[in-house]
Amino acid sequence: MPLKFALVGNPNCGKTTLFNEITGSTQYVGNWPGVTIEKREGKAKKIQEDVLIIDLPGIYSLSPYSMEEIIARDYIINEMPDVVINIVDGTNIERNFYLTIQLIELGVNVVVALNMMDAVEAKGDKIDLKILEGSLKVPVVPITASKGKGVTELLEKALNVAQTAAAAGGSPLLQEIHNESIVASIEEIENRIIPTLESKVQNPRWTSLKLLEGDEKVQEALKVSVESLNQIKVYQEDLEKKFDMDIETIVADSRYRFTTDVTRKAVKKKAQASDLTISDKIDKVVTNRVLAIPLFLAMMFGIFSVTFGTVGSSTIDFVDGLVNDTIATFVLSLLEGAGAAVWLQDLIVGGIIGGLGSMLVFVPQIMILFFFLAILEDTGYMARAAFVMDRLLRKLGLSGKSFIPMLIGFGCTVPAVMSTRTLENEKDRRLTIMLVPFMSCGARLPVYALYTAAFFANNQTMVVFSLYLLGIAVAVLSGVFLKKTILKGEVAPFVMELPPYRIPTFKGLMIHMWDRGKGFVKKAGTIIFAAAVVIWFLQYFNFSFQAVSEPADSILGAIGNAIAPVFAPLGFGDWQSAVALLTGFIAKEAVVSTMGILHGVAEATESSTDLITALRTVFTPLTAYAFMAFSLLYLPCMAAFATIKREMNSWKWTLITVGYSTGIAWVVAFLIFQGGKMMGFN
Amino acid sequence: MINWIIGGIIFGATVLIIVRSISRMKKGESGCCGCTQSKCNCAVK
Repeated sequence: MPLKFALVGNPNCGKTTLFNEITGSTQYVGNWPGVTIEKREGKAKKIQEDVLIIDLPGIYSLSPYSMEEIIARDYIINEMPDVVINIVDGTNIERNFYLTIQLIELGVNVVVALNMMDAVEAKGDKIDLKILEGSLKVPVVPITASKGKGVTELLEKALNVAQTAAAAGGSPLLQEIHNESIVASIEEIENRIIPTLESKVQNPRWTSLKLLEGDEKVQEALKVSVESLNQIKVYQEDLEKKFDMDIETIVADSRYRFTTDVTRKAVKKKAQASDLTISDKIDKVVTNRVLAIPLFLAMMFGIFSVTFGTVGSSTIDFVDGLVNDTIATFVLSLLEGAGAAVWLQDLIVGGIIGGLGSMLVFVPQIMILFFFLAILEDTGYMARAAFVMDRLLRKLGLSGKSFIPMLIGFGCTVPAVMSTRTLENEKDRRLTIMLVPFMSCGARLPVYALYTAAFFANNQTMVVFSLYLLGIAVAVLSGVFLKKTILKGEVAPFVMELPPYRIPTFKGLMIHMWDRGKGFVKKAGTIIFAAAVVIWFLQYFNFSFQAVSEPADSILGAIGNAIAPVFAPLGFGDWQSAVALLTGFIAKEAVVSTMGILHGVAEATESSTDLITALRTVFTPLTAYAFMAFSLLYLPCMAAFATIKREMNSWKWTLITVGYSTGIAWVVAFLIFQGGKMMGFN
Repeated sequence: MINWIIGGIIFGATVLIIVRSISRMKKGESGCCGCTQSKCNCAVK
């Protein structure tokens, strides 16, 4: 049986960074709270012993206020890890210690990892580890997880604790943390009420404290009788009368007093020339009421300029030439040499290489975009973006809490939908799930890259930027509409901790960029590959399974012709576009690969043509824009659909979400095309 | 012969990918959305 070490700490204190450092994983790390919402496990690679590391969601306390706190607390209590490694942000000890105190109260084996010591040293602050260890009565190890400093020492210390100490089952520190009358009440509950409970209590001291605090989850788990609750109420009321506060505040206040006292003794802060930190000074500008939104827009525009400007575009020609010319010609000659049948040549060159190549062409460009987005995330700017948007959304009657999943939605809809679990209010959660698919995920980028290269070569940046804004605008307006109609309710308050600005590490940025680029390539090799083969098959044969000379006569042609009239009022009523949008349900990138197959991109014959030229014969700039807008807004991909169903736990709401987004997409594309036509665009 | 071998491999791989994707989604996994964020478990080693 491996030893189990659980990583516990406040949001954004570096748990996932430490997890990656210990296990060699490349889990997603972000400089904003709430990156981890489920527990993850990995084997420790830094030490020889068999140790399982469990990364728990970031929490501020062990009080059951949110789903993350319940997940973390339940894990610690029920799974009983051998050691709880409590990661504490060294630059913000006082606030982080509130959780530390609660872990110590729980009586589990705790080792404190004092993280971000490089930032502490850079600020010129001094932390006396001996005072900390003496006060908390647990080992304290200074580390800098991002640079791997102190990690081995931390693991050795935890190992030592796991092998030598046994969980006390109650904290000797309780008397020092809490006032003697609170301790007396805890002891009374422990001696008089705990023995009368039907359920077996593993940790009587901590359970008594929780019952005194009025923790409903503990009451439910132990099935505490009404009689016992009434007895506990007497202790609570006595304390409330004495301190003139409610019982939760009394217990919390004791903990805060203790943490303040320990911090005052152990931390010597360097006198600052100004009360404002560098982060504060930057925030004064980037979260300024007037400047914030223009700055956000300018930053995004700058990023799109580089991605879709000269730098990004030059990569397309290179990869396009490599895949659709060099590789396609080479493979075709190999197949001809080997005597392969015409259908097999067409399947491999026209179907697979043509389909995958059309999408892979844009991978370098996508990686450039994600590199810059990773900079915004890792520096801590994205958290400010959410803060800034909260002000705007609140005016419209929406909660800024919804914007965090929406920001995640810029990467991928699946984790964005899952991250709505942090919303406590069910209506807000449903609303946010319905809005997330409107955010432009990375998979839509190949569609934009292809169509802007074909029709807006001189304004690529502006057009892609406008599509991102269109997604945000539709999400916000939909939010207002839904909040006033089917999802009426109060606006939930939004409290978010703004992380300090950090200089991103080159390694971290490279990991982000590589991971996402790798994700696209992996997807090309699996889902898109399968889709390309199926599409090729359907466009090669008719319903009698005979090869057709014209794809329009194929199975796919028949399907496309049947649904094409739906799109005719939007300006793209050809069967190829209809089919491409249909395959977009498998994955949005499949829109491009389908177009590649249907327009014979990599046939490598004299009649072959590149996709951009082919599209110019079918679309105009106006219809291309309407097509991109439709691709942005219509039903989410299959993976997102499955996640929405799981998170909504309701077919009705899942179908409403899909129907709503597709309906909106149709209306918006219709308005763009018809409105554009009326204004004289083509 | 080569047509059957290569064609068989391609169509076999296609069926395998489709079946695996459906079973992963049924199990509540994302079917790998390609995002690699923590919630998808795409990056777990």
